[in-house]
Amino acid sequence: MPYRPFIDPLTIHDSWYWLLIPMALGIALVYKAVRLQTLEKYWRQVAIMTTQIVIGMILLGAASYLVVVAYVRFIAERIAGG
Amino acid sequence: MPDPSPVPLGSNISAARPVKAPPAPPQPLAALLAFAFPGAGHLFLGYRARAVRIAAGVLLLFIVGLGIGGLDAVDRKENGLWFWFYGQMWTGPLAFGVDYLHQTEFKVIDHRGAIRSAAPNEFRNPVTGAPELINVDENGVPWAKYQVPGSTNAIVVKPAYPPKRRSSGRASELGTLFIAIAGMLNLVAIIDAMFKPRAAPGHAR
Repeated sequence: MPYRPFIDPLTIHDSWYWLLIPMALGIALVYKAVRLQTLEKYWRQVAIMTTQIVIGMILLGAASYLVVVAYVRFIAERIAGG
Repeated sequence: MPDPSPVPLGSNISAARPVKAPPAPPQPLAALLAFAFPGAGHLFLGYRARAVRIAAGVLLLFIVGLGIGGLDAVDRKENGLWFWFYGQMWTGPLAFGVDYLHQTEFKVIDHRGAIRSAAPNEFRNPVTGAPELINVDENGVPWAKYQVPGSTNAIVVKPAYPPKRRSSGRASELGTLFIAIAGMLNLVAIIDAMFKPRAAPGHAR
């Protein structure tokens, strides 16, 4: 069955995390257009906010991973041992 | 000796302080335009550059979301995540239009009258919307036939495919999420347009 853009979904199961970048960019584009008093440093502010969102999400992902593989395992072992 | 006080004697001291500007009157028309199309409210108020940027951001998220998740990313009725539409609907006619097309042109009406997505082996009768079974010929080409009400002749369609492919997993999640974010950001722009003063002539930003 041929792929029909905007009707059929993309196959992105292996590369979905790259979509964080256009998502962060879109959020920053609109938020900064509404929030800034003047637009003189608009693109710089958009770049900073996009980077902040991407880094923040990576850190949140890493923190969630640590909770699952370290803390939950630690709690599970304590329950099993005790 | 000159008087060190900048406030003239006998005047009200509070009057010398900078006075905060009164809030701008609400602009319901700007809010309505912002709902009708992303950025249109700011354009109406004279903020052309902001309007272009708002439209670019909201449309980027909407189009990328639809590209990722396909039509299933906007579904007011069926996909079990209908509440996402309450966020998506703030993109205005874009979301309502895509949902209308989805419900009326890309879903089938089964024998009970229920509107649902077609199964992978179902073709949509373009006249009645009824599901028709897809068969495969000796060369592996899918085909289907349908009947027009009032006619005895069957029309054969080859190759025949389901009206859309169902989205699942990450594609479904991210497509839905992108469009919901577009809607929520446009809601922020709608509220901003509602309470923003008109741009001074020659100072449009």
